[in-house]
Amino acid sequence: MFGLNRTYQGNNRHLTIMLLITFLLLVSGCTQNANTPETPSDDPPSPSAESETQTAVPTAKIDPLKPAPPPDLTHLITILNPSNFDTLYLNPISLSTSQQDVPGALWQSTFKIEGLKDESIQDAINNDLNSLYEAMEKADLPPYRGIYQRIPPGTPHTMFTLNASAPFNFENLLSVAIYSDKTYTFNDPTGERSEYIGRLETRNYDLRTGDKIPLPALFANPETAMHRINDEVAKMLSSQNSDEEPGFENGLYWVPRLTTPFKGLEANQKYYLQTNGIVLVFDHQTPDFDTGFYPAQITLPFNLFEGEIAIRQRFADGSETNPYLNTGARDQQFVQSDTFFSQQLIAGEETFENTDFRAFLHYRYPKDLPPAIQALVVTTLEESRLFVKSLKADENLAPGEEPYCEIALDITEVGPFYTLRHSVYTYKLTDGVRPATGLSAFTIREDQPLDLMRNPAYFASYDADGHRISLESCFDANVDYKALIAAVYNKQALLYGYPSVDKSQLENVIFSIGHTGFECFFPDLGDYGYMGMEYKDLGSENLTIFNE
Amino acid sequence: MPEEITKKETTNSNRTGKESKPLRRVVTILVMFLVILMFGAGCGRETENGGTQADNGGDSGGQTQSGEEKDSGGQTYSDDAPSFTPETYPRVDGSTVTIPLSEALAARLMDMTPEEARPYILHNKTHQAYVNLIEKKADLIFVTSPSEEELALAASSGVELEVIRVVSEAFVFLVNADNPIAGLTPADLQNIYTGKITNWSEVGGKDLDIIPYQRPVNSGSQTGFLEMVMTGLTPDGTELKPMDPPMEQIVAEMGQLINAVASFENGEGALGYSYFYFVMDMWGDENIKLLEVDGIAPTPESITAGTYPFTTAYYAVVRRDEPENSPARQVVSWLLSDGGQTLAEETGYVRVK
Repeated sequence: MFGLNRTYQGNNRHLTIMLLITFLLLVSGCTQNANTPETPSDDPPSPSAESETQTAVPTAKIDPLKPAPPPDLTHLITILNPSNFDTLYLNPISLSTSQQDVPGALWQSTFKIEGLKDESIQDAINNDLNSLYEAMEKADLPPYRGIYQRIPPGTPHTMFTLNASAPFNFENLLSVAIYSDKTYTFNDPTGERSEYIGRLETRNYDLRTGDKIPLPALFANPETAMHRINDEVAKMLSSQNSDEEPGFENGLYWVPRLTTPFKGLEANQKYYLQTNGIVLVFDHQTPDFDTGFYPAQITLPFNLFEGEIAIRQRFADGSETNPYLNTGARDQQFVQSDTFFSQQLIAGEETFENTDFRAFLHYRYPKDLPPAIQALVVTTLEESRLFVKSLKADENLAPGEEPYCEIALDITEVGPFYTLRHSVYTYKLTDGVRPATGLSAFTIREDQPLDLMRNPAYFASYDADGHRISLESCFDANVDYKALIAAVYNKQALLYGYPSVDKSQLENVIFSIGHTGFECFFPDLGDYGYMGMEYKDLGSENLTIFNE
Repeated sequence: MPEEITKKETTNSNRTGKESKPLRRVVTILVMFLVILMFGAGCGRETENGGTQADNGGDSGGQTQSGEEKDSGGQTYSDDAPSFTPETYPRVDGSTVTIPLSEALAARLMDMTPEEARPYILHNKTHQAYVNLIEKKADLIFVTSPSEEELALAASSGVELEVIRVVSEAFVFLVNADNPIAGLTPADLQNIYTGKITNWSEVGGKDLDIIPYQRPVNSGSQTGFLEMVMTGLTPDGTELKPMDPPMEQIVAEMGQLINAVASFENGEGALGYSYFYFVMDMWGDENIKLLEVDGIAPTPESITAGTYPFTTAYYAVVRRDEPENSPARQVVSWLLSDGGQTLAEETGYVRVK
């Protein structure tokens, strides 16, 4: 072709133009075909469309459903002394939610962000989210393995739901998780059939710049981050027997199954953040895992990477300019420790013999508790056992009624604190069925001391030395904490339809420190005594619990 | 039309560059020809992937491209790849572990990339694959050998299964890379898992307690362990039975904690087992060591040759009455050819021959 042009240059401009047009037609024709046989240009039409980098023709619009390219980590410095973080600073932005509902066809809940000082960054993030919402609605079947054996290619969806949420909105980082479900209805030899497909797309933005944050950038040393992550994922997969087909004893169906040896995840791995850790998403973009027609997720708790994560240092350094319109004090909450992570737990269940009723004692608490808290656990468990042994069933049980007792002890790490929750349920089972309201079958219950055993749900928080924390000590000395609590109570009471209270009614509070707020029970308020109080409502600046 | 264009091209090929107008026509025609060719070739595959009329195989059901055949183990297998479209490819099913094999095979025989072929290949796991084959919802499955239950189901359905070994596999034992033990005998392993040997020093290692991990009941690995390793009788004539495994609590759905067989943790005294496929090139394999058994290390060569003691396989299974040259048999035949075995090897499996 070039030879011809050289030979006949100058006498054939039309030919050149024609060649050019032909070339463009040729390439664009193929690209269009490869992209979208039946749908608009954003759709991934062929099974490979999402996993291949298209280089034939630069397109003005990047397909938002494509995997992120391998990140360039070279500009990220290594943070030498990352500090552990117990707390998280909430970003003062608002999420403006909108919903669409077309019964039987569409339900969609999306949001855009508001509150960034730099409108161009805010617009860029909102535009990116919008294009993702749109692409998820228009997208053809995601190329899950085997999907064409269940749903004929090209089948349009009949029902679409989409829900966008922000599971992490702290430290100048915003994680967005967008989950969609599509229903496909079609006819096959067995008649009309419906199949359901789930899809999860994520975004992680640096709110200072609008940049998307790759997974390794969360770590102090981005170069070694994937190695560490892969070490932990490998352990987790091993602990869940991911190389076995589900169906065996205790096989967990929601765990992603390996189709090949686990060889490690790439730096562009899809993920989002939660307040307890990093959530990795597995789907058609990670074919080493078989997840069926839905994404699967694995959560890596932050505390697996103590001293290795540098979110605050990298993204929320104090020397940075405030990127928000709101320049007030930032609200805080605690990183959520994950007591559901079995490798970090001690857990057990005891049944009781020599009782004339059924009784169970469940417990779980983190490994490596400080000695004082460990002693508290031992004492509480022993008290629980003695309590069960002291129980005597009512003599006036009707036929079919059965006394039943269940005690649960749970210890959670909340920042520098340890929160104990002790629940005692005593029931009168009727024909083996637990009643809707807990009528106790035991008379001795009311004779128990006010604390542990008398309260169906007792909770308290302690410091590492085992000292019980008082509510008063959680507030700055200059704050009238009772008045503040009464104000927050009354604000919520309006919503719940509770009577409003005076601060004099808030004596003898039972309370605990949670990740996002206090859990309170005011005995003098009877049925209206239980109330959660979020730190952002109380004002983090009024609290001492976040002080270093 | 392409033929006609070619003729014109040939006719005009002797013209000189000075005759610009006819030449322009020639180039125009040539370009059009190229366009047609490229649309036909380059774009046609996408059309085919989209499930419309395929252009390479039609309804013929997959034809062998040449007639060369070679003999292997008493059967005759073709070394040339048959060609299929998504419409003509046999209905396959299988276990999770054979998914990459099945996808690579389908991609090769449908002239697709693995990414393109993946949505067409659905494996419903081992037992369901057998059920689907027996109920004629699948024509070819890639699985482990049939269980008693599956054989009984086939018999009760009047279906005879033809089980063909297509790739080799082995049951391997792993220890911490720092464990100085090079290998064990089958008797050592039986003694360890029945609790008669409890310290590595009893088999020539360090004075260190052995932590003999097992796998969950009814899992593929545990079944393999019982069938391949814990066979035979004890000296007093009773069946060999492994001792109770170490247990741990795992988190089930809804956060419930349940008791489960503890999974392998690569501590200094640990002893675990797995299938060779899942430990070769796995993340962190530098921290583990595979044990020799009877002095034979598990390697692709020893597994293919069958000299490693605990050797098994993955199988292609078809119904015995599958016609001689059916798509399913053509696929199996090619998989057993040198080209097919090389593909399997490249996909991470061990050759059967």
